[in-house]
Amino acid sequence: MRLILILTYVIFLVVLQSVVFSRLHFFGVSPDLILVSIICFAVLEKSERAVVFAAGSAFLQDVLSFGIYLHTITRVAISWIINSVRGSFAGNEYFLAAVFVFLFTPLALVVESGFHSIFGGRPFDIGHLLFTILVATFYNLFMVPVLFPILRKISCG
Amino acid sequence: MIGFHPYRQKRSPALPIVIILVAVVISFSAWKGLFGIRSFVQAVLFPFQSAAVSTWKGIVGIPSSLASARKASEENAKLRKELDSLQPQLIFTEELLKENSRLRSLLAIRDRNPYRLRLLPAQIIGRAPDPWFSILQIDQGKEAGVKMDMAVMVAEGLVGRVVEVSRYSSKVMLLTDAESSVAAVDGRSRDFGVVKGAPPGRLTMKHVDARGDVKVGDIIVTSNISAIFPPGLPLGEVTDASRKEHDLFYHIEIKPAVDFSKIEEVFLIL
Repeated sequence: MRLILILTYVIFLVVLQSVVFSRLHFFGVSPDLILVSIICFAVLEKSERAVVFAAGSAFLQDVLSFGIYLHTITRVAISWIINSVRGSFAGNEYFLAAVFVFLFTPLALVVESGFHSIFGGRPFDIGHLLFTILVATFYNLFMVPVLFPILRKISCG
Repeated sequence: MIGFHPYRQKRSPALPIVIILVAVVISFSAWKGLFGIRSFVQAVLFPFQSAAVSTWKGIVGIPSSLASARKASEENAKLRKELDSLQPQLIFTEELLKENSRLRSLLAIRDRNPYRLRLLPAQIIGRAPDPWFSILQIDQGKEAGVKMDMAVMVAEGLVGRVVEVSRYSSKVMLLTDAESSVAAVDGRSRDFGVVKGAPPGRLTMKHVDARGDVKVGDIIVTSNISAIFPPGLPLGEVTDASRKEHDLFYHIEIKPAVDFSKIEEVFLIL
């Protein structure tokens, strides 16, 4: 039952991301619902299920995107890092998720941008990158209060 | 003896490392399509995306539908009157169109006329969930005869080309993507060059000889040397054309002919 719930959530999220939020972009930047969900789930889940969740949802993101499976690589790494270090932190999980979103959104974008520049031969535009980081971080932080309670219910259920 | 459980359980990195390694190997191999799994997943997601697009358009269209319904009956009556008065002129115009068509065929323009191309309409169902790529997903795939590298256009001009085809949907790389490049020509001076995407949402024209004559306001169109795109499709308008004394090439900025953020339907050139 929990597996079906997670699967439904991931499909709903991926469709929402590619259909609705892609139309609500700000100069090409829209919130990354999948990254936010992966971070929240990694904070809430205390097992390797978070890594599997990250791999599955990021894979779907890659399928709907273009090129290599870079989301899968970065999201799995992020999920594992959070899952490994979260035990060191005490306190509010919601606040912790928000802090991780604030930290990992820019990091993921820098890694992806660098990767596309080095291996994909895409031009590196520092202005575009900084703008994307600023808008995406703001958007993603805005999505934490929306997605965190849903994922908490799924995680507990 | 009471068992001792450490506060921090050490997690094995085996699973993430295996997943990352598999993803890296697949990404840089010929198995990027995962033996059809990628296409299958897209086909599975397609009905959900189509349903979401319909729902979204329904929600967005409610305010405009209510406003336009009120005006519709008034406009209908007004247009009927105008139509009656235009009837004699219409017959005259039809004659002119016939003559125009004959002259066009004599000048052999007919074969190059973009509006004579066989077009397949498609609806945009999604966009790449990624800020680095300018990719659209459309609701036509292999089943409708879509193939790789097919040109995609709208009435205003060229949109891009097909870069991935699955059973019911395809992905279109927009002109503004950094990987996009199109052989192009200045519509006025006939100077050749290559139009490349310059994110976010801009175009530049490269390799235009500095001895050429490109001016702000010139319309850039697809060149007849392109193997993918038919000639004469508008790409955009020159907004900046500069060259310094010892430059070999022009520095040209182009405003795209198509507003990529607003297109909802496109045409594939078969």
